[in-house]
Amino acid sequence: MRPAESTLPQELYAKRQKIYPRQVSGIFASMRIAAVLVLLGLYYGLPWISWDGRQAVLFDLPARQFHILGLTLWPQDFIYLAGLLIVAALSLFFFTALAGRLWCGYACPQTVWTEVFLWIERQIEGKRNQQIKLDKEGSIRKKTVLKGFKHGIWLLLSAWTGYTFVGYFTPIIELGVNLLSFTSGPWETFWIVFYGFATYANAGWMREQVCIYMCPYARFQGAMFDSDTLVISYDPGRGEPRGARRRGDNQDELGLGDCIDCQLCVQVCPTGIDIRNGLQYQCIGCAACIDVCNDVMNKLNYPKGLIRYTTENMLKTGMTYLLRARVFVYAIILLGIFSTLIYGLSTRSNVGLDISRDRNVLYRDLGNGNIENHYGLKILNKDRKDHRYLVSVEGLDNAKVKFDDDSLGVTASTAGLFQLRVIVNTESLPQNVNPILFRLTALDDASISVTTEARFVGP
Amino acid sequence: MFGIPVRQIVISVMWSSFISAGITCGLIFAWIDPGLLLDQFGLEQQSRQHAYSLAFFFFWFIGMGNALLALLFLRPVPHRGI
Repeated sequence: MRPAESTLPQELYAKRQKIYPRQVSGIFASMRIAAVLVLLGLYYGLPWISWDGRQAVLFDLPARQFHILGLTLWPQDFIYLAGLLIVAALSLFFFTALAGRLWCGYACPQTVWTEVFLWIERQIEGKRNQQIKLDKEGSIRKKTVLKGFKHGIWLLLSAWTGYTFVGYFTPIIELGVNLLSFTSGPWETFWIVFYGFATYANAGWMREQVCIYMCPYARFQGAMFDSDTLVISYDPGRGEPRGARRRGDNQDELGLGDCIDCQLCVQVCPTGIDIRNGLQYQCIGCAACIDVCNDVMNKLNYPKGLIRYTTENMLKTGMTYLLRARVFVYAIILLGIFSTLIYGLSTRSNVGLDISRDRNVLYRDLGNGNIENHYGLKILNKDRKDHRYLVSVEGLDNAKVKFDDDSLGVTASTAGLFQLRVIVNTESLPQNVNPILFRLTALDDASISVTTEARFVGP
Repeated sequence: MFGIPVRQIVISVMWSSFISAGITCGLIFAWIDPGLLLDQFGLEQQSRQHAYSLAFFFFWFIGMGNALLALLFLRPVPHRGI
């Protein structure tokens, strides 16, 4: 017998039950709606804005340039992208340490799109009770019509989402024209369908399963919490013992706390948990439970905040420090990296130079002790104007530069390839492999300049 | 298997390799021009999207193989003496 096979329980979990989050309104619900409108407005709207004759935000993969408004990033600028990712990650950790899963509840694309899909579902299938009734008792005909219509709208929105996503990588207007005339490239079409289907599957079908099983942030966000992190909490000191009561009953006489066990906090939860059991892994911090409980408290003339944002220390000792060392350290590091990034970006050179030495011939002996090396030059004109450039060589005495091309002119935002030869006499060569420095300067603007190291090989 | 839902296993294998394929593509193609890759395979007339997309799937499938192998090695091992 192999205990590992026989004693492992076959089912440690229940089959997935569909969650019908009850609709809720309140201050946090309004904040979430505002976030949805702003974020989706940006997502769907940005590709349609133009800047200087081209799309304002375009990650032009074929041309290997990323355009963000007036900024153009080249592959050589990868470090700024990495810096941006670090800033994004640190900001996430900062906000998590402050107030928990703010990202999850308000800004995460999964939350945002699921909210829209749920709203559509509510418009078509009705409110929570109507949805449950439809699923349990509805006729096949009614289900087919309503759900078919719902999935149709979902698929349309998903298709538009996929189209918008690809529109960040190839110009969206051109893409649209091509799609309508069935002349779009195979890969563009593929990715539109792929991303559209992913939207439909994640927001329509998976919903909270993405947060529970797929999200890496969900797994480690807890590690950034401490006893002074604002979390959504039920106050058992106030609420217990819970129990139903009639309007006008004196709760003290009945020995009851403020919680009337209406279960509304469970009904509104998109991940189906009971916050009264404490903060759980599945809780995405959407604060729907706060909104609905406050509503109930209002109706009973009890004070708000039976479920509220609070900290562990606050609940235990009545005191908490929101502005603590951890928060300051995060803020300082963030500020430091962010300002370095901005500074680096604004002082970026407008030209790049890649040198590749011709490997076919080690060197050419021209006679009289003159040695020649052949180089390929790639000049990246990152400026928005055309430029012509001058090349000089430093590091070896009396080095002569000869061009195969007439002039080194490169149009704006493109790279130009040129050949040149460097000739140095053997008496000026200290070793057989010598480091040299190529300096490239724009003819019309001496501030546009860059240097690149290379090697000169002799006998 | 493992006492967790099948969907969790499928997600762990496919989604983790999807993420790593995306990162790998981003890193590699910031250094190497995908057009050069096309030239190597004699596919000069294809677009860069072709190279990006094929490379992405290539990395994704390799990642999935990696994850499946890890799953295999994560199977509980019988204790000594049994």
